[in-house]
Amino acid sequence: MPIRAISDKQYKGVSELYRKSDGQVTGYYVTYRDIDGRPIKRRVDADNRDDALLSLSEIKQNIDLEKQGKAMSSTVRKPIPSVLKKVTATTKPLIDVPVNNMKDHQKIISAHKGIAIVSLIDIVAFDDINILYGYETGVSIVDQMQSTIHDMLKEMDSNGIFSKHSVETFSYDLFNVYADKLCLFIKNDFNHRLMDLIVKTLLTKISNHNFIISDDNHIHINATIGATKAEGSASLIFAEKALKEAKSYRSSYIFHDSNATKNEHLANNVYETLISNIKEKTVTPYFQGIFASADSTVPYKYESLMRILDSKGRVLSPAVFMEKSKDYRLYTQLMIQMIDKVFDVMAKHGTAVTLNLSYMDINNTELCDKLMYKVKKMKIGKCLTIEIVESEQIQDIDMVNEFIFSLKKNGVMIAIDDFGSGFSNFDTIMNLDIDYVKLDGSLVSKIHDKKYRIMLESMVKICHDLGIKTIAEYIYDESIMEAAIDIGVDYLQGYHLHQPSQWDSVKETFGLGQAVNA
Amino acid sequence: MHNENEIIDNECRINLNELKTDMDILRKQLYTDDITESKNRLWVFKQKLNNTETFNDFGFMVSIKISNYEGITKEYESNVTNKLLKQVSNYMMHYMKDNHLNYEMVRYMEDNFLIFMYGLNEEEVEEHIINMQNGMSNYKFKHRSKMFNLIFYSAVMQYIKNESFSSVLDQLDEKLFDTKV
Repeated sequence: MPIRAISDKQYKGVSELYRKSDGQVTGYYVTYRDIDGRPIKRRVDADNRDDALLSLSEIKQNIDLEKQGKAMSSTVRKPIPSVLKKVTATTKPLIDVPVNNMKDHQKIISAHKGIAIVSLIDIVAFDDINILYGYETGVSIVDQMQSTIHDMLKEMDSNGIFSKHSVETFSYDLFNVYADKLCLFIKNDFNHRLMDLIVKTLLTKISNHNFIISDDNHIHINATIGATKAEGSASLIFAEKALKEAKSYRSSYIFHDSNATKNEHLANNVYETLISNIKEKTVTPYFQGIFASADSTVPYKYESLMRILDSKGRVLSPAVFMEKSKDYRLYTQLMIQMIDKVFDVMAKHGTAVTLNLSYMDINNTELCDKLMYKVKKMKIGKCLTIEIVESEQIQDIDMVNEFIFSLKKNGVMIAIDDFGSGFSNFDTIMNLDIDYVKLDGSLVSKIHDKKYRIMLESMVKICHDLGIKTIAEYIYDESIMEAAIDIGVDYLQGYHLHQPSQWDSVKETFGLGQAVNA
Repeated sequence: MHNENEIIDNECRINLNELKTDMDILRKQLYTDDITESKNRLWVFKQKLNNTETFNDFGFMVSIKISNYEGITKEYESNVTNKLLKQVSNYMMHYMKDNHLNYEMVRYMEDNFLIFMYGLNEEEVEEHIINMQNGMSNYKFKHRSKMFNLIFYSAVMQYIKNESFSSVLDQLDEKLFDTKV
């Protein structure tokens, strides 16, 4: 089976303790693995879910630090005494009270009355510095970074930059929150433009600074900054969000506006909806017909699409919950329900169905084991097509092929989704043993444009030459359908032919299990 | 002589067609919001309503607003807020296009969008709006280095032919207020 990088088992995260009588949340458990990899579940002192998450993050950071210390104790280079001495001499004491962890930082930030700016500053590729120069140099670099920030802010203050912007008393704290992550807590209500100026100056200062690693050597580093302006305890979390966003976009700075969250009760409660769907088993597969070009009356097979229900029983589309379910590490539980329900339909009605799996799913042993078990036990591999979505994320082609072959031995067919868009290209189909490609809807929708038509036609021809069948999605009117048939597409899918709906409705529309591939 | 008349007729037809095209463009510009690609208030009063400010058709009217938009306008310059409104409008238009909905969208004032939807029942309208609204709340609206997680609130009202626009609008405002508190 594929080697799994991360399993959802290790990310149980935070769970709530309910009072049975009225369902009120009375406490929080966190689940994690200790330094030796043993699963631990323990109750934490938290008033709300965010607090519990902070505690979990703090526990995990401590475990990571312990692990790093254990692993590297014999390999780190010797410290550079002169450098450490120099830096220690210039670093000011940060705050009066001892601050040890995220929770303490959170308390200090929460205790501040009024609006403040919280910025998290992260050193780019700090791991490399630790690996190449050793942990003690890493620590020294962080100290130098702190000094640089103190010096820069002092310089800006003495140059009257803050007073020019009507800031009478500039006040801040600088914490080293974790490893290479610093928190600049500015206790003033700045205009966002002034914050931009501080960040711009800071980033320039950092990139131009010579960070000393030995008596005669220095290096240059860069930083990523995530900031927010807010009142209260949530600001650190907003700054985390901003930093995460900046890192994911490889941007040096993101400012997260928290204005909208002043009405937090209006925020969509996706987490509760996800939990409720998992507990109540209300994950709902929708099915959309895929039709042979020669016969657009009865579906050849159906694509299964995941939906969940909100508290009022309204159907929610993936745009609302999919990413969030991955963030909360609840996706696997949804997907397992989805697999169960789709297989039930296949078994009861002999219907041919496609099931979407991402590279992340294929990496998930629990999910793959479940799928293989079902395929073998129910002996309905011939009814199933696995549609690999977001194939551009595939990094380990061998592992994916191993998975594909194990499915194919049981009669399952393989399709690639969104072919032609982004990085889902010919390289993927050359290296994977697949039966179908689904042409990307954004290309199909432009089929009347001559250039797009030529491109699609060539894609269809190449696929046919390679023995791969093609499916055109986004068939939303007669003219697009005719054009798709005209360029030789084998199968069609889209609102013009069939809108996704629950199985009962599909049965009514087409009659029980009439997919011809079954 | 006969030929000359034909040439004049043809020229007139060409000129008339050009004039018609120009008028269509002007009409589109006249009824398009100056910030987003939605329609504007004038469109509501000239195209959607009768002279008595009552509806000339039937369907559902949805009102959508951004939570604490005033706070955002206080903090940022108009180029930032305009960019946000444009992104919000584009998101909604894409959602409705992707779901093949029959709709018309108006930026009625500031952050208040009105969407007129046809051919659906109330349940379907509400389901689409909740999906669109929650989808937008998960979406990261961006302007340069600024990131905005916006929260929206909405209300839906059915309207029928000859019903007073201001009365439906008042009821929608009341519903919106109930959502807020």
